[in-house]
Amino acid sequence: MSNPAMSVQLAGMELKNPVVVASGTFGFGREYGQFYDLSELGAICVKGLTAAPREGNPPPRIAETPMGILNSVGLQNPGVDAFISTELPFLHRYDVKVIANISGNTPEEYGEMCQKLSSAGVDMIEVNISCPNVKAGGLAYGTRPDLAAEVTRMAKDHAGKIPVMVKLSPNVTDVTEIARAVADAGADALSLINTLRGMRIDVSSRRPILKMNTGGLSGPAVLPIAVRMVWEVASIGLPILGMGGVSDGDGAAQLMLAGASAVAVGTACFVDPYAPIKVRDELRDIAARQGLDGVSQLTGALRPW
Amino acid sequence: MRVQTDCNVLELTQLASGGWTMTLESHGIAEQITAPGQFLHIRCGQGQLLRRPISICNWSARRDLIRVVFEARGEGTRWLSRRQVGDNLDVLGPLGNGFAMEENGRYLLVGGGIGVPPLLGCAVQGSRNCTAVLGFRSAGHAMLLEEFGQACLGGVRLATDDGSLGHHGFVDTLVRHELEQRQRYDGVLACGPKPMLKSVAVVCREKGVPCQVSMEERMGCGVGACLVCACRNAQSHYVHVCQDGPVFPAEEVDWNE
Ligand SMILES: Cc1cc2nc3c(=O)[nH]c(=O)nc-3n(C[C@H](O)[C@H](O)[C@H](O)COP(=O)(O)OP(=O)(O)OC[C@H]3O[C@@H](n4cnc5c(N)ncnc54)[C@H](O)[C@@H]3O)c2cc1C
Ligand SMILES: Cc1cc2nc3c(=O)[nH]c(=O)nc-3n(C[C@H](O)[C@H](O)[C@H](O)COP(=O)(O)O)c2cc1C
Ligand code: FES
Repeated sequence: MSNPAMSVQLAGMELKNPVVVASGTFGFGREYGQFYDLSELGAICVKGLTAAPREGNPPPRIAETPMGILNSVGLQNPGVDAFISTELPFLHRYDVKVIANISGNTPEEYGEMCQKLSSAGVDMIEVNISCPNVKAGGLAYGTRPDLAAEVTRMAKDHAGKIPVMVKLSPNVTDVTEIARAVADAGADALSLINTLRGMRIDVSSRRPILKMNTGGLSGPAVLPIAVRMVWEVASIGLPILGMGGVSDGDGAAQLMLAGASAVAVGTACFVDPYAPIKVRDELRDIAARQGLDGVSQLTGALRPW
Repeated sequence: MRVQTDCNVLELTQLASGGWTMTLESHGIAEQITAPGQFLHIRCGQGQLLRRPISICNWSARRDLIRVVFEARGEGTRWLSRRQVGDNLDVLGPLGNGFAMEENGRYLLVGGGIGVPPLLGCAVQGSRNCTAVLGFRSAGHAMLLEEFGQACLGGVRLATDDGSLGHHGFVDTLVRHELEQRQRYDGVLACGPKPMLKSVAVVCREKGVPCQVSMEERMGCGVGACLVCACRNAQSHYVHVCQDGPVFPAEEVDWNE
């Protein structure tokens, strides 16, 4: 048994451990901050921000599925300005990296938000081109390489020194095509996967459970898809934040072996508020059992057939 | 710091109504309860990913006990009803904001169906000076009547949809009658299906009596982080049942949603 170092690098940002919490599942940290010290985490990826406040979609916004959930929150958030004035100062009280997740209706909106956030002092910007819950923009950017590249360039031009990570949608035929387009447009890192479009129907009422009819699938059910997609985009060579269905150290290690430098935990927090801490500790145990000097040695160490 | 707690099942029995009453050794949750109407978010086995929100029916901080009363409706609550005495339950709580009550205030408690249990906490812990109006589908579905009878100095009025017990019809008729007979209520506290809450809210507004209602919505995290449990307020903004509620002043709810 070794005593592996836990710190990892993600596009020049040093994380004290590879466990990040996924956007939209952890609010702005205040709620789970009542359960443990947020400084225990590698980074916090905040609720998806938009240029103006958004109310989100009508309820029901959640449905349970076999080992997963569907959500249709629809980017409810107070807007980027309110985030900077009231939420960011709270997060800065902790020794934890802050990743701002942004969604725009136009490339210009992405640019404007990047400018504000980089001057406000976030550690990284995650550009969400893949949220399936927003009719305007959103998914279209995530499924068309040319648009994804345009948004990436706009974000890079306005983010200053702050690294820009682009979050990919799994709702595409070939994820490497989009990944390559955003890499060529200057993205510093990739994150994936966002949720998969899904639907659940209440047979007795013949109604979809979600008021929006469809929503995004997340949770343990999607882990194998996330692992496969991380593995596919790893060949592009950009650092990767892997996510989708991680609920234990084994799932996190799978994503790292497939090519992720760090992993995000989302839906698992609803099951167990301590899930990110548990994932971190189990990841350390796995690295120790394998006699590694550092958990970062897992990244890309897959031995494919 | 909040904690996730393993609570021990001390008692689990089926009521004549078909519902279940469960008493938990709470390992410190009971002493954190600030008001009746708060809830627990309970893990219902490995097969169900999401926790299930269940209202606290009654509690004793001194004896570290919490009682919940629930109906086995789907997979999760059925799993809960199959627990054995001595089993551990994975519980988050107490969560949310309960009913705001003055110690000696005079309250009309209005419950419908499985909305009835949390009101027992109001009668036992909030103020002795309560009258209860409880509605059920039929006499066979009625529950906790004896305990409400003991706890409510103002007595208990009953209504059933089929007329098999008490008033034949809905609780709002009885609520109107109560508010017209005795004009001295400090507040009406209601829990039950949304159409019932709406009609009670209408009567209260007409009579000028403050009304608080406990709302239901499907939940994820239960603590305010995921924003799935949205409910529209009177200003047309989404608030969140788990954190801003489940109890809201009736005038803050958008009843047209
Ligand atoms: C604040 C609050 C307090 C509650 N208190 C009680 C109580 O004291 N006693 C009681 O019997 N029931 C109570 N309920 C309802 C209870 O949460 C549901 O009956 C339960 O979640 C159903 O789960 P299931 O697995 O049996 O059903 P399923 O239909 O299989 O559940 C599927 C999913 O839908 C959700 N769901 C289904 N019905 C409801 C509902 N009515 N409200 C919220 N989510 C729902 C479940 O949580 C689960 O995520 C309360 C609900 C809320 C929001
Ligand atoms: C309730 C909920 C809200 C989400 N909101 C966002 C969001 O605002 N922006 C975003 O990029 N991803 C959002 N996601 C997607 C997650 O960040 C993550 O990519 C996805 O859930 C897969 O990870 P998981 O299986 O660990 O949850 C959300 C997911 C959930 C469940
Ligand atoms: S259930 Fe997550 S915010 Fe209410």
